[in-house]
This record gives sequence, C-alpha cells and structure tokens, in this order.
Amino acid sequence: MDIRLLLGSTNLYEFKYLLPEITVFFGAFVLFLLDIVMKNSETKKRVFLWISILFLALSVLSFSFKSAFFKDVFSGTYTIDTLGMFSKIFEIVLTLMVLPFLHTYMNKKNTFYYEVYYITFLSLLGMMTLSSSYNLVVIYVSLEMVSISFYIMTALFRGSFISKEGAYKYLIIGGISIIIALYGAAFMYAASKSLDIRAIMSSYNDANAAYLIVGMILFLLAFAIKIGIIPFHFWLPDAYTAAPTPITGFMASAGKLAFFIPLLRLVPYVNQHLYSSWMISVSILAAATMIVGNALALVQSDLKRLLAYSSIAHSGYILSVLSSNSSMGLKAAIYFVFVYSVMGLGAFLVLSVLEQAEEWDNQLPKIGGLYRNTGFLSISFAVFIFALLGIPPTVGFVGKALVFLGLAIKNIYWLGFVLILATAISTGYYVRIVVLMFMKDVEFRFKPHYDILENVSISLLVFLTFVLGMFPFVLWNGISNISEFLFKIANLR
Amino acid sequence: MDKYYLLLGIVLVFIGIFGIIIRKNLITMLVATEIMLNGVNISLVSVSHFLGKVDAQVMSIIVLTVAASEVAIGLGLVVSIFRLKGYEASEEITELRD
Repeated sequence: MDIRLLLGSTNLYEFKYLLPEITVFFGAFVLFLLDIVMKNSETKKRVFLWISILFLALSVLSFSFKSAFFKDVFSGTYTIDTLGMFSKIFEIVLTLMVLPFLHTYMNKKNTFYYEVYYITFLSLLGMMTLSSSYNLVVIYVSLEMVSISFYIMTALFRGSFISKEGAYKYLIIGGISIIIALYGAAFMYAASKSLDIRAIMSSYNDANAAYLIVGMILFLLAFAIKIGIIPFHFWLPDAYTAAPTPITGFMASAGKLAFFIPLLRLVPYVNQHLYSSWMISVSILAAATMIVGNALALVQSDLKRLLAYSSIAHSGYILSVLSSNSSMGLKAAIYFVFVYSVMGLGAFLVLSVLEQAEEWDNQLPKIGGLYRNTGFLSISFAVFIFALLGIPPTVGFVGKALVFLGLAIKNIYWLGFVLILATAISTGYYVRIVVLMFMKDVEFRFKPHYDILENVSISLLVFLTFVLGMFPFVLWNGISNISEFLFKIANLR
Repeated sequence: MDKYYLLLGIVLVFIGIFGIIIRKNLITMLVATEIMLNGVNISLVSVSHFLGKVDAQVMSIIVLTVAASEVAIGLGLVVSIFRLKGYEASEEITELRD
C-alpha cells in the first residue's frame, strides 16, 4: 500500500508547526530510554535534571515568534495562533522553574522516582496540545493526557497513604468530568454535525438551540470540575494537599492555565442567542466560587490546604470575568490566568523549600517568626501572598482591577461587588500569614537549603510578580492583540 | 429506533452516577465510571449513526482506548492503597477532611 494513501490528506510539511511539541515528546522519549539504560545513582539524578532542562530550553527556542498569527493545520484539527504560542511558552517556562524544586524535594523526602520527569514532559505535551485546538477530539485526548499524568504525579509519594487517597479522589471526580465533557460533545455534535467548536457555536438556529445550549453548559461544567469551581471542588484541596508540593505548584500554575484555555477560546463564539444562558451559568458558578472558596480558606489551619482554597477562589475570579462576553473581559481573563500561574507557583514553591525541615508539618502556627530563620524566603513568600491578596505594586492588583473593569463594561456590577466582598474576606487569612511570619517569635530554628537554580527560580518569580504589576503593558499589549484578534476571527464566521 | 439507543446511553450514565454515589467498594466505583463512559460511547455512536457521519464513531474508539489507560491507573492506585492499609472500602479512606 502506498504510504501517501495511508497518511491520507496529511500535509507532512505541516509538522514544522509542531516543532515545540515534538521537542517535548522527544525529550520524554529520551528520558524514558535513559531510565531503562542507566543504573540508579546520584549522577543519574543530576543527568535527568539537566537533560529535562535542556529539552525544555530547546522547545522554547523552537518557537517561531509572530504576532497576530493564525493558522489551521491538519485539516483544522490543530490551530497555531498567538494565544496558543503565549500559553505554551508560559507552560514550558513554569515547568522549567518547577523541575529543580522537584529534584531537591524528592531527594529530601526519600521518594525519588525517575518516572516523574517523563510524566511531567507528557503532561506538558498534553497542556500544549490542549491550549492550541478547537477540535473536540483533540481537546478530549489532551485533557485526558494532562489529567492522567496528574493522577500519577499526585500518587508519587512513597509510603504516604494520603497521597494515594487524594489521587484516587482526583481520579474518580476527574473521570466524571471527562464523561460530562463527552456527553456535552455528543449534544454539540447532534446539534451541528461537527466536532469543531467554531463550527458548532456558529451553527445556531432555532431548531437546534436546545441541544446546543445543553452541550455548551455540559462542556462548561466539565471544565468547571477541572479548574475547581465550587459545587465540584471536592477533589481539589485533597489532591493539592496530597501531592508532593512542587507537583502541586505545577498543577496549580501550568495545569490551571492549560485547563482555562479552551474556555477562553469558547468565549468569542458565544453569540447573542447563547449569551444569556452562558452568562447566567458562568456568573452563578463564579459568585459561589469566590464567596465559598474564600470563606472555606478562612477556617483552614493547614498552609497547603489554605493555598489550595485560595487557588479555587482565584479560579472564581478568572471565571467571573468570562461572564462579560466582551473583548475587554477576555483580555482581563487572559491576563489574570497568566499572572495567577506566576504568583500561585511562587507560593507553592516557597512552601516546598520550607517542607525540607524535619519539624515542618504545614500547620499555620509553624510559620511563626519565619523571618528570623530565613529572610529571603519569607520576604518572597510575603510578596506572593500580597500578590494573591491584590496589593497595588504587584500583579494581583492589576488582575483584579482589570476583572472589575471587564465586569463594569457590561454593567454586571453585582458580580463586581461579589469580587470585592470576596477579596475583603480573603484579607483575613492572607494577612494572618504575613503577621505570623514577621511579628511573632520564632517557633523553631532551622536553616533551609536551596541551590542556585532554586534561588534563580524564586527570584525570577518575585521579579515577574513586581514587573508585570508595575509595568502591565509588557504583557498587556500582547494580550490585547490576542483578544481582539480572536474576536475578529470569530466575527468573520 | 435511534431514540432507544440514546435512552440506553442516558440510563447507563445514570446507573454509573448512582453506582459512584451508593457503592462503597473502590473497584466497584471504577467499574461505575466505566459504565458511564460506555453510556456516553453508545450516545456518540448512535448520534453519529443518526446523522449519517462517522466522526463521533471514530471519537468513541479513541474514548475506549483512553478509558482503558485511566482504569489501569485506577487499579494501580487501588493496589497501592490495599498494600498500605489492607482494605478496599471507600468509607475507610477519610484521612483528608476538614
């Protein structure tokens, strides 16, 4: 049989657009082979770390940078555009920052698994395909790729029962969310005879309206489970607490960014017929998430769990602005989801360094007087906490201001009011952490060790937290081009 | 005729949901998620047959493949839970709570 017949209408030259993805996949493959070939030793650990860093750096370098760029490849199943490029670069850089922490953490906790490197790579590959497709089949497969990698990574804590428990809960609820997404896909397919989101959403007519709306809402609910929106959030604090802390940071930053992208891509295609049902469901979910997430975080005594609930609350902030179905709202959502991944990752990474101490059990009083133990870590932790709270010179403030602006443009003031109320509630637990760190006596003495790579990562995250907040135009110009471009393409259909 | 296949799909999905809520055994819960996935598959295939296209039928084969890998992870987790604690009932797995 002719190979060209077998490949069908695939244009092989289109593989050049997949170069970053192929680099990441090749990296996973190389690491997998090395794991078989090499004997376990200290050298192998270091080799794995540096080879992963090398491949991720190569993958970043293999992007071709263009602004306002849009191209469908492989018969429309894969879309190369600027939003995808931005989010892929962010995901790779965030993974680069996580890896050194993962290395030290697994060494200290005596739970070193070489598998974690190539599973990280495969989940990164899933995130990259998830953030650049409109096709439901590709979205489904990459969603499963990210999720299954996360289930495995959550359970990778040797001898820890809660790690397995959290992973199992994540698996069951994640499985339900996949099923809801597929059921939504069946409805959307019945409504429009297509599996492409753009074609589905533009196929609105009176005859198929009910199917289309049900499919859209089910799709939204499935992604709401994945990003931890309130009535479906039960897995999130458990899985985040159970996972090794650098993995938690990875899930909360790169994973959350990737899970948000299909929702962001859906927004320009929600036309005026679908708008009311979209707006009602999104705003109710978002309001519940903001209030209940922050209220539940207020009563936590476990620091990691507290940050997990704060992550839920931030999903609510980002989701709330998607209810204003405008270009401004989309810009605010993209900005906030990018900067949340920076500050959330920073907070979890600082926590992972602190967990190296023997006496550390993540309880809130333990953080008392941290400033006298380690100045650098406590100051950077305070920066991330203030950014999560939304204090002006940091990114959190700009993000929340933009969200409020996006809501105000469409006159959804009640949701803006809920946002401010939720932020006020969140002040309680964020400020308590900072007060404990700087104004209390030392709880116990220890000297955390962090090598040069970890130092660079945390410094870079602190730098980004300030710079993207003080000069938001660095990110904003790119984002506003992306958003207006997405709306322009959607209006062309 | 297609209507009954769609009904079968919905019934299977609801059987799966009730199975997850009611049954306490970890392996039974995994089986319940599989039942839900198969219900979704039947819906996809029958919608595709009704519309006279094959896209969703191809999708359902992909779903079957990926679901197998998910269940493999689930069984691995059940085995490691069983090794650590020695029982496999979900009412015992209550360490993470607040």
